[in-house]
Amino acid sequence: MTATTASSNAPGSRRARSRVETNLRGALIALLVAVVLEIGFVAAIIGFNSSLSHHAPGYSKCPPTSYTIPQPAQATNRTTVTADTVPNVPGLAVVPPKSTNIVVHVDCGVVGAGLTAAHIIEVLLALAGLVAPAFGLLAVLRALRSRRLVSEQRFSDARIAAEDSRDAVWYVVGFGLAMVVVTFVAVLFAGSDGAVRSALWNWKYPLRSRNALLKAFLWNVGLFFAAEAIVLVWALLIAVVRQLPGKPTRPIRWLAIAYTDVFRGVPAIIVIYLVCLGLPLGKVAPFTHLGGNPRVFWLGVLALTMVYGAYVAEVYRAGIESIHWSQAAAARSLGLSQWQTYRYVIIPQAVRRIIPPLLNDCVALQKDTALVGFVGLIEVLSEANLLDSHYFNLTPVTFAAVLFLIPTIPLTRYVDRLIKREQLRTQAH
Amino acid sequence: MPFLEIDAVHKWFGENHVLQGVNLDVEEHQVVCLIGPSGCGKSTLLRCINALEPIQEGEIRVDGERVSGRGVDVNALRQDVGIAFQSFNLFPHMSVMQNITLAPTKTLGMSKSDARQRAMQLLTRFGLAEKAQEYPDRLSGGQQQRVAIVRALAMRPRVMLLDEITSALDPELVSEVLNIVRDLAHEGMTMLIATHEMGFAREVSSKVCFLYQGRIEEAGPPAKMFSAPSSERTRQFLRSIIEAGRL
Repeated sequence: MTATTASSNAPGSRRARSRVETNLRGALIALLVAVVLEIGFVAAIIGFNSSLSHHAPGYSKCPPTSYTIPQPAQATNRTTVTADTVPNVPGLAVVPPKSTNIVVHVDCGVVGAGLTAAHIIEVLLALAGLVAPAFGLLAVLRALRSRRLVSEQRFSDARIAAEDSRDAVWYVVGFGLAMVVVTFVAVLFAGSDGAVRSALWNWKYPLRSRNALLKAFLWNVGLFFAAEAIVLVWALLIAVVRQLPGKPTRPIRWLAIAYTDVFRGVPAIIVIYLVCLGLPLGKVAPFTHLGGNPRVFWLGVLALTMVYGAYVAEVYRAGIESIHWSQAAAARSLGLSQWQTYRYVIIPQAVRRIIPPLLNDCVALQKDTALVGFVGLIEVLSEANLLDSHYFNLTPVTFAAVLFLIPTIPLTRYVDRLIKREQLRTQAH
Repeated sequence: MPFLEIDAVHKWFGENHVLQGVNLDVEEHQVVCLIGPSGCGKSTLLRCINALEPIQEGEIRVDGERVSGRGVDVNALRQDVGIAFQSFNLFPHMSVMQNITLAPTKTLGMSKSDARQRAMQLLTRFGLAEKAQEYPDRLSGGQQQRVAIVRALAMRPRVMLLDEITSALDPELVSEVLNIVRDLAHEGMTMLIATHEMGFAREVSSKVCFLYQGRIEEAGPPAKMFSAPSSERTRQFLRSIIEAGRL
């Protein structure tokens, strides 16, 4: 600090000069890397763009979007299998064939408004990519300015300029890394003439099959709401039982521990298989009066509740244990009973604290409703699978994936806002 | 008959013999101060009286009734014995008003409006009326501690235990809390106070007890305790306090 006015031989000036020189080298490297990245980035986007308007390999012109290969009708030697012939076995409900003919659909690429939108996005991305080389240039200019200031013996200003230069380099790093990721994704999807992209997403199919998928997704929504409502209460019960004091409660406490250990450790899909397929086979199952989808639905709710009850119980327990014992002491000292202390003091604070991990399990449960499809419920994934094999294209599955995102992302943001508001209300700032 | 009797009380934390036969009587309307180095057992003694900690030997009686050991309704006991802690321990998820009315409505069966009215009276008296709807984290330490005392008083306790209630406060906030205690003392509230505020102990108490390694080393009126203590250990303790400029 005292050295800023000293001669160039003073230790302070040596420090200033060395930082400036390293900085110039760094800035030049950043500029070079940014330019290379931008070139690769634009190339990848152009490749992706050309893949959009391509049709499936092998067709020079876009044929009719679908055509039918007639099959000779097989009227004889064919047993009709329906759900009635194998009673009490969910999962063997057979979907009647929609047509005896084979339907071939052809991917003609993106056309019309979709293509225009894609063009606009690509141009914007390419322009945004220019930010990296721009900051690289800025970094070099600032580094040069910093050098000049050193030669004028203005060391303090030189160090400020050098720091500005380093800030610009960090912009190059941030934007550059993002460009690397986007480039990678674009190359992946544009590869092999856009085949990957059009296998995963083709605009025609969601439009055609969206009603069936949306209807099937209602099963997932139902599974989620029913299971989540039960889980929130059931898991709290388990967590509180685990916290019961004293020796007399030991057996029930151990049972609660065993339950958590078992159902947290077994894969969800196995629990679903055992509950949804095993219980009906044993003929002593609950929900036997229900048939078909409704029965698998309620068995699925049961299985998901068992699995997620174990996870959420652990979350509750962590929350309860995180409340300092002095809170319980204060509540008890006022004459509140053990139960009242839990009810009014410990649990409300614990729940506020565990909302983020609770939301985490909530989203996970919503996703895992798709597993119930494997035991015969025609929920969104099963429906998408049926459509896939029909179209020979995975667009319905991608569409199902998007359906899962639609509720969870707004929910997450909403809960974030609730937490923020609660903090503003109760905490000092 | 003394209102609060502590009779040969022993307390162990595992191997650690924290209270080694404490004998202490507090008459009704009397203010007794417990002084002594940290770790001497002041806080533990108060927590034992409130049954927050069990004792292993001896007996504690409130108004002639045994309150330690088995077969005691601790919830009923705690309605008579209020306590305020060093770290306030307000419930952070509740407003000041909710903090104060929780126990009276849930344990005394008071109606919500009666409890609110009583809380408002106390808050007004201690200059906290405008903080009724505020949350604890948004109050100063002094205000929080005053709310904590009001919360205990809302149960209409017959004796108050104050556990180093000013130790966690910034110096300029100490007086607002001590003023409340002074006020309560003048009103005739029976109190047992663990404190490091020697000046305050001297002014407000009718008896001062010096606790040393789990025993009451010396007890007496404040005038004698602070000017002519008979025990060498008491003298040593007070000397170090004076050297620190705290007396």
